[in-house]
Amino acid sequence: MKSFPRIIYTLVAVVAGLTIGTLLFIPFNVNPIAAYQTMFGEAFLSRQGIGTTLTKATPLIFVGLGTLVAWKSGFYYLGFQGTLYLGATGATLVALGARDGHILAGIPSPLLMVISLLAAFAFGGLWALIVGVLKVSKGGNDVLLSLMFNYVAVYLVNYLVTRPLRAEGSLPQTERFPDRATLPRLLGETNDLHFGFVVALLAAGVVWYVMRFTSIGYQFTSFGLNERASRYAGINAKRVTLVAAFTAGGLGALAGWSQVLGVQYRLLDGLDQVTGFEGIVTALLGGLNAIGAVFAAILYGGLVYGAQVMQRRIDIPSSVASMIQGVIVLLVLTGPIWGHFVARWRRRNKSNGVSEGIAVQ
Amino acid sequence: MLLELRDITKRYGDVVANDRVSLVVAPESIHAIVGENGAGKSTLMNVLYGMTIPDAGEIIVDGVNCGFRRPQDAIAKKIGMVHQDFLVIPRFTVAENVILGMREGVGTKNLFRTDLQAASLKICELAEQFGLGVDPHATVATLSVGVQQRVEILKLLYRDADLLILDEPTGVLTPQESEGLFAVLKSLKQSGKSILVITHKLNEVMNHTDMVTVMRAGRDVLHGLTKDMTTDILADAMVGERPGIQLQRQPVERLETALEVRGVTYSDRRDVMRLRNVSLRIRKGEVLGIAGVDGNGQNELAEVITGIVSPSSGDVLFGERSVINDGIAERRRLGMAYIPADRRNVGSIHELSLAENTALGRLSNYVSRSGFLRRRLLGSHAERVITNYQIRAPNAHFAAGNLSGGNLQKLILGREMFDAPALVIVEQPTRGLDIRASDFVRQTILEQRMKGAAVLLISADLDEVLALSDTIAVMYEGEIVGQMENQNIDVSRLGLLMAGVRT
Repeated sequence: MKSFPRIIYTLVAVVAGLTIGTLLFIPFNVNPIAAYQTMFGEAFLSRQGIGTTLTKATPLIFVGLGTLVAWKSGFYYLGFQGTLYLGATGATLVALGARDGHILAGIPSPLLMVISLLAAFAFGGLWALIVGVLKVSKGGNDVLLSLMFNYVAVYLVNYLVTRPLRAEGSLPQTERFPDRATLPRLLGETNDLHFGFVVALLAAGVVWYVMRFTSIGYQFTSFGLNERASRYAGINAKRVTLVAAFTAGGLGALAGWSQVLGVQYRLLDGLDQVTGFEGIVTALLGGLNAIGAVFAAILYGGLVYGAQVMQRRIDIPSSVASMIQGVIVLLVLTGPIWGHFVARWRRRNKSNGVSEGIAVQ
Repeated sequence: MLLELRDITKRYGDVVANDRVSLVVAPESIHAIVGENGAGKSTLMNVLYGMTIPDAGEIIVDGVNCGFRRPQDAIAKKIGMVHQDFLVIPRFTVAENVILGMREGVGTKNLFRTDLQAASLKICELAEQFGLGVDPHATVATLSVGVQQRVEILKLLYRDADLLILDEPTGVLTPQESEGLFAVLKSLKQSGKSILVITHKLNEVMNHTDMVTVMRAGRDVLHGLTKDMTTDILADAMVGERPGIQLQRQPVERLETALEVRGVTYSDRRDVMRLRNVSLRIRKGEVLGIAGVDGNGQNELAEVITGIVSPSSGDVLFGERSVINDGIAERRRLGMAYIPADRRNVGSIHELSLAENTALGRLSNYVSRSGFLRRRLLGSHAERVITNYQIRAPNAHFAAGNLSGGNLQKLILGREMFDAPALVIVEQPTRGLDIRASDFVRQTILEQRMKGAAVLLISADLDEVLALSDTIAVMYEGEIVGQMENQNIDVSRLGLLMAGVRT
């Protein structure tokens, strides 16, 4: 019942954001419609572009899913940058272990993928679990702690690629992974889209199902909505927080897993600066709902890619597109407030009508 | 200051909270207002402080008719109020808290500077003058509750208040702190202030006040000099003639003990003792009613029995075995049902649907062995509760927050009674409900009794306790101060016990 107006709000907000965005094209003397055509035509309508859009959406979906599991359970985790790096590390260790002459050398590709996925999930899950344990046992602040842990994770990877895992050469990065350990491409070798996207969709389905149709999902939601009522009902507060922390961290880690195995093919310094936070934004755009998070991530990925295309083709700085993106995000997130104004305006009109009716009688 | 209230009337829907209440507070006196929960004391004080606008009536200060519309109006007439919950910023010092929100006395017109020095000096003087013993430089968080209350009083004095209103001021204090408070109030009176104290403790009224007004059911039923009163007169006036609630209670054979609480003592997080050596026993088919003014440990008793909090000592036996080490969920599984006082924030989750709320605390009934939620089963049970309890809602997907209080309470009842519990704890079951819903709730409680459940009924509504209970216990300051069979009961004795007078 709630999702219907939500979609309307979102669409209206996107259109309104794009309309406001036309103002930004004025200094460049560009027809905004043509600019948008370039942007969306490439990002959403060409085969090549769709591949890139979905590739960009993939890690956002994972972080978005992690965010919704954590936040719906009342665990305000912001450490997805960290879990992304930890997940990338876990995946890297497995992938490097699959090089010839190493411990996982003989293992077939699909099994390797499962192992790396589990390793990444466990790395990220345990990483987030640290914050969960600190919150549950010492009353630590989840927001602050998780933000601080991001730095630790980034520098941990920085250390790994400059020292123990560094490949020969001038750059701080690992060796390129053997092909067997990487994720297969979906639309041919020239298209970026990789199998990670399929895993992201599967994960979204699983999260949606778990939140709605399982006991633990019910406990997550109840606890996140009302701690006192949940305690009254006998829901184990500590257990819920810890399970949510582990799951959220694990999902967030799959963003790193998909990036190193599907895009970079190696672990490197400065792997990703933004996804850990933009994924949180997409989760909010999607209304903290698994299906919503997928669509929001695809929209977001398309905007990011479209911005790059616009810069390349018609020489408009990608910062313009970033601003439009920002306006859209703001409008979507403030949607309920606008909706409130609309409802009030309608009520006022209605009550005016009623009083007029009485006056006529 | 001479304060007069004339014919104050305030209605909330069909409920008349104040019905032509009149009151005169003489200068340089301590005036007490006493009454049961819901007698209209708090409404009257809110009217006086400008927080509630009355439907009719006048407030006259020193002969001038003032229609207060905001607290600022009352403050301008030198009326100040100490609320039950203190409005202080714990991290600020006493001086900072006292000057908070003031422009005068800050000492400078500059927005970014304050003259704490001058304020501190004045606070010291005031504290000295009235024997408050508060250090202006102390951080409020480090002070005891009693001293924090004095900071509240200081705030009013600093603003030059002539009439101080204190709402249940001793509810949060230890006996020693209470004595200290009344000493302070006495010195305030001697230096010309008037004081209005809301309380339900008759001993305090008798020992420390000059005048007393008794309120009952929204009316002022008795005025007089305290020295002309006795606790019996006051208790009778508070309790009054009771038409009572007429309900048929069939006799039930009661043999087996269902619940036994043995010597439970409990201190809350702030180390205030909420339960003192409480022992009680309920048999199957028995309703034990706990009478008492709100906040005398009843809620804590329910939470100890259901396992939401752990007592510092004592034991809870349920069906002859100790459950003190069992969690909340385990105790529920053993057959405990609990209808909490706060149905909106504890008994239900408003964002969730009626069906989902039906699973609250009953989750294990609706989960398959592999951990999946059996939504269809849950939905059909919820539908059954909606039908059986005549809940007005379109369907089970309706959000619980949209239900009226009565319908929400029916949903909670329906959920808690679904498994035929062995023990039912009901706390303030009809608070805020209309007569029809109240009646339904009470009938449901009696039905459970007929089915052999043990019922612990906690209610500040004495009529309800009298109508439903087989046995009545009275709680006062965390203790059970009296217990009796509900036969030819002396109601004024109950009133005295509830007000802390031991007979």
